[in-house]
Amino acid sequence: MESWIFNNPILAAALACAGASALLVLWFLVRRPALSHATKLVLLAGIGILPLATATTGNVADFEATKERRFCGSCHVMTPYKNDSEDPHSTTLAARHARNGMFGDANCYACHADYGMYGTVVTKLGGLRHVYEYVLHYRNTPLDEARRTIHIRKPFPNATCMHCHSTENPTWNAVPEHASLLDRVRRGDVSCASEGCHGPAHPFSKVAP
Amino acid sequence: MTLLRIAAVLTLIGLALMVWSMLVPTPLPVMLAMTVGQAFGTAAFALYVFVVVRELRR
Repeated sequence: MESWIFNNPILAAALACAGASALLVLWFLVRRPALSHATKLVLLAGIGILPLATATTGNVADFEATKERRFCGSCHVMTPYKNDSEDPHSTTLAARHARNGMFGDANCYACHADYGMYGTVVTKLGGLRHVYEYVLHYRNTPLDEARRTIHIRKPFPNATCMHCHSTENPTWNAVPEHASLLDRVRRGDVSCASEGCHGPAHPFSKVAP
Repeated sequence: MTLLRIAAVLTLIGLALMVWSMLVPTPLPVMLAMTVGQAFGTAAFALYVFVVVRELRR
């Protein structure tokens, strides 16, 4: 755990601030000093400045943590998706993107994030909806049933793929299928994944009728 | 002093929630830290400011 904390300077700073704040507050609670000028300054640090620093750095660390696959996979219904992404032999679209160093442990977020102007906020609001759905409807759902019933709310947009695969790269356009469908892909008339050419990113979740 | 002790306890609870969310970054701890934890921290600081201002005005 130590290396995980020290590899993340923001997390380390947040924990250091929290520790220092707790020490000052505990000193006040245990020693019960008179409310002198010095005590007020100690409490300003312990109740004001250091907790504020903890909250600020902690929020950044938490927001970064919510982009990681282990966060998405912490709800049991996402276990098959997480396991597939971590399977080095899997050939699904999701797993191949997870093996890309550009995404790595954040491959769920990379493909399911909104990349519009308010993308981060929109994505986090969508995440709150996931929590709502999980707590109220899927918390006790068996994995097999969850795999069959859970689906994304809207068709997967090509714009998300095009965030990285810009359709401007000559190598991409050298693929005849890409070149012939260029305009239709850009307009979203032909889907990149799901019902489109590259198929579902998580094919194991699609049950044959 | 009682108000300051309450503020100190609220601070400790808020800090505990924030540290929990950082060490176990799963949805429940993260949501609790960003709501309850920060509300406790803000309430604690408000109590501290109230006590200090009251002292200054005496």
